Amino acid sequence: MSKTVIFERRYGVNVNDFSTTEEIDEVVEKRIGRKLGMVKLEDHGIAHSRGNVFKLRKYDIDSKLEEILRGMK
Amino acid sequence: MDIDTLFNFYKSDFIPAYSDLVGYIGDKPQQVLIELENILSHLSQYFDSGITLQDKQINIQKAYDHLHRVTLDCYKLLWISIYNRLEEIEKDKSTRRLGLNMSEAEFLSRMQRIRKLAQGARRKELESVGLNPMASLDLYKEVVT
Repeated sequence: MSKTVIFERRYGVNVNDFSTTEEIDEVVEKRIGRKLGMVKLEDHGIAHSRGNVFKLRKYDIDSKLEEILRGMK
Repeated sequence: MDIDTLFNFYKSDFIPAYSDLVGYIGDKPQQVLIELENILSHLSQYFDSGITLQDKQINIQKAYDHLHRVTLDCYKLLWISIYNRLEEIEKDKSTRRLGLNMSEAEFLSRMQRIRKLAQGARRKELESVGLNPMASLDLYKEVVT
């Protein structure tokens, strides 16, 4: 299996040529013609303002995944 | 655990995972940035000359654990993003029938396949908790291929 499943094919690059997230960001920004924004991908609807934000964050991704997998036929 | 192992993993596994996710969604997910912040916090402790060798080891291990987690999270978030888009097509009968470069039957069959692969990857991840946290990595990659 190649190292990336989308990036190298879509952007015509070799991921081995990159060492940092900053370098990756530059390639993507050049292609899409704008600076990357920070997004909060869809999660389980849990507010981040209470308790330990880091543990909740982890819970969000796994909860979303479980929610989709449970709903599958 | 040593610092070279951590940065080898960063280059060989995290960077490809991050590039796939950011290259697909065209933005930087907050969830990933928070994990990277955690990693930096533990690394700064590792390089703190005022703490014991044992505490340095604890911190480098914690940084490594966060790096494992965020690498898997990249593929989970990628799968969720792809799945959400495909699900919109699946729910729209006319797009499903007329808007794809494959037959409706093939599309539905592929949807079923990626669901099964995702379930398998998740099962493997849960079976490997505490034993081999990266055991499910290739399975998650296969799901989004």
